[in-house]
This record gives sequence, C-alpha cells and structure tokens, in this order.
Amino acid sequence: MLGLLRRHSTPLATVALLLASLALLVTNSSGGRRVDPLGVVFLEVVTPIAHLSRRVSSSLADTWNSYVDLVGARQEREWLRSRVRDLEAEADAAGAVARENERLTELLELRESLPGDAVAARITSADASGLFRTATLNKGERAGVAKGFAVVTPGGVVGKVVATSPHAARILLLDDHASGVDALVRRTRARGIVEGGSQAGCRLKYVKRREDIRVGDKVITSGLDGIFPKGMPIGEIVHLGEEEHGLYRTAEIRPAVDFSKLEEVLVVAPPNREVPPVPGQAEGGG
Amino acid sequence: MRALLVFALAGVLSVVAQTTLLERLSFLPAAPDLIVILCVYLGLHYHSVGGATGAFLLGYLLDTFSGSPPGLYCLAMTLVFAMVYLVSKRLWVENPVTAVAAVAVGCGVKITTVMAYFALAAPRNVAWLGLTRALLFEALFALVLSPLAFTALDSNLRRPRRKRAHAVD
Repeated sequence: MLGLLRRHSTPLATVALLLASLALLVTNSSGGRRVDPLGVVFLEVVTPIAHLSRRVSSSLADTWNSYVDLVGARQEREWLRSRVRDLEAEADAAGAVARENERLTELLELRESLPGDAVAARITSADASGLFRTATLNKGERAGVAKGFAVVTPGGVVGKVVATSPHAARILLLDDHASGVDALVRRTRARGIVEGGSQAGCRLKYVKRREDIRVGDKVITSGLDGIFPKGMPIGEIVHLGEEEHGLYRTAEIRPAVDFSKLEEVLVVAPPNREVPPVPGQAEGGG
Repeated sequence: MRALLVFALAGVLSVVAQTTLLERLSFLPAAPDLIVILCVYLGLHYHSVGGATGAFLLGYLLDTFSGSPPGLYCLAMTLVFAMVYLVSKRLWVENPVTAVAAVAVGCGVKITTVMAYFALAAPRNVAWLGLTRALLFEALFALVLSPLAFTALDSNLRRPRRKRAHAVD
C-alpha cells in the first residue's frame, strides 16, 4: 500500500491539491467568510519587493517620459524654427512689396510732376565689366525709350540712355567717367558741368572761380543741356578743389542717388521731345 | 533546495513584474502571464509532489495579487501542471518548439479554467469579450516569452535538457 502511494505520489498529490484548490475556490466564491491562509504571508513577502520595484519602474518611467518630452520639445523647437524662418521670409517679402510700393508711388508722383513724357522701367542688370558704370533697363524702344533720354528717380538724376533695343535699354550712370550733366549749385545758382569718375562719385567742373560754393551745397540739374528736367537733384558737394590758379574751380560731389540700390527708374523724354507712340498700341489703343 | 529557491524567487519576481513593471507598458493590452510559464516548466521537469505543490503555491501567489477569489489560480495552475505532467509523461521529445507547445497547452488549460469559473460563478457580470481578449493576449505574450524564460530557468537550475523528463522525485 505504501509502495503504491509512493509510486503514484505525484498524481495523488496533484489531485489533492486540485481538490484543495477547488474547496478554496468554492468557499471563497460562496460569499461567506473569506478563507485565505497564505495570502497574508505572500502579501508580507512580496509587497516590499513590489514597492521597491514600483519605485524603480516609476523612476524609469519618469526618465523615459522626460526623454520622450525632450524629443517632443526638440521636434517642436525645429518646427518653430522652421515656422519662424517661413514667417521671416513672408515678412521680408511683405516688406519688399511695401518698399516697392513706396518707391513706385514716389516714381508716379515724380512722373506727374515732370513736364515731358516718362516711362517707368526696372533695372535688370549692372555693367558686365565693372570698368564702366552702366546698367540695363527692362524697357526699350517698344515702350518709347530712345537714346539720349534722361533717367531719374525721385531721389535724383541716375543717368541717360545710351543704347536701346526693342525691349531693353542701356543707360550710362551719372558716375561714369563719360557722363556729363549741366548743373547748378542750388544756393548760389553757380553753373558748372557734373562728370563721373571721381573718388566721391562725381565732380563738378567749370565753376567760375569767383562763384561762392561750399561743402554741403546741393547741386541740381540746370535743364540747359536739353536732356534732364530742370531742378532734379544731382548730389551734394563734399570736397572743394584746391586749385590756386586758373579760371575755374572743381568740387567733389556725392551723388544724391545710391546707384547700387537702384531698382525702378523713370525714363524721361527731353523737354522738347515726346515719347514716340508705342507700335501696335497706337493703332489698337486709339 | 536550489530549485525551491529559484522557483520562489522566480514566482515573486514574476508577480512583481506583472503587477509593477509590465502594467506600465500601457500600449500592451494585457501583461504576459509569467506564472503559467513557471507552472508549465514544473510540469515538464519536476514530476514530483514538490512540482505539484510549487504550481499550487504559484497559483496562490497569483490569487493574492490578482483580485480573483483565492483558489481560482490555485486550481488553474495546478490543472496546468497536471495537464503538462500527463502530456509529458506520454509523448515528449524536448525541444524549443515543444516547450512553446507545452506553454500553449498550459495557457489553454488556464483560459478554460478561468472562463469556466466565470461562466459558473458570475455569468451575468462578465464582459466576455474583454475577458477573452485579455486572456488571449496574456497567453500570446506568455508564448512569446516562454523560450527566454525556459532558457533562464535552465541556466539557473543547471539542468541539461533531456530527451525525456522524469522525476526529480
């Protein structure tokens, strides 16, 4: 009998434990008194370990959450940077439009104030060689631009047209050594010729020695050359020549227009000449 | 003695892991049932009174920390042990695939037991879909983790794998 029990100890023990489990379950499910002989022991043994584990897992979770937050913050920062770049670009574009609008408004006002016909044009390129001071306009013969026309901005004289094609024109800037404009000193009406090629930009030449000219005097067009409208600003005297002898004096002039920042200009027909009608428009437009 | 310590520690760590670490993995629909793996291991390799008692105690440990009425997991885990014991006594060639198959059998027994209990004890108060889903996910994760758990137990118990597992008794 004992041998039989030993031989089948495992199945017998298993059945016994199953019955014990079943009894335990039935007892605890009946809604009566709770029978849980080992629960207290297990709770006492496992709870401190579980507590420790929870603290460790909480720390790990906190670390992980911090990391995730950091990654999120990094992504958000990148997004915000990109957004700032976009907004700055938009603001720049809006600013450029506003400035262009301002310039064009001034150009329009200037156009209305000028006696002859005028065509608004845009500077498309500068001199290719760097040895000369010329620029290209986006308007040409088709727009009524012709050789010898004055080029001005609300700021002052820019130069004159030296070559044209149907849709473009080349202008000689005021500060090129080959340019020449008949000029007056606004304060004293002393007359002279403004030429380019000096260190300051332009030079006022052929001013009679006895004329009163000073540093800071404004120089304007005289209108006597038949190209530029009278009274357009040319520049300001920044240095007087030190010639002790001779009939004339010279002065260095800083041009009123910053040629490096030119964008829109007005091409003005000489006072005694009007812009020729644009082919096609004359017939079509009436 | 060594086996007793290893299983006691493994049981405690499994319950702690299930109740503290794995519950933090909120993306998992259920925590893996590590205790059932231990019971299957006992059923495979400890054909003794000690093995049966170990399964019973592991079930009791789970009962203590799971909110089920004391006795439910005792019954389930003892049944898991019994079923795996019976199967491994008759047809067994030990390899990783059959180990996972044994865990699958164990999970099936556990699921059947738990669902039978709820069907008999409180059929109206049970959300059967949620219960089935949780039990299946527990089983699935247990299956996935079982090779790792078996390797860890083998290495801790310094038990070379055998062609046929017979009693430590």
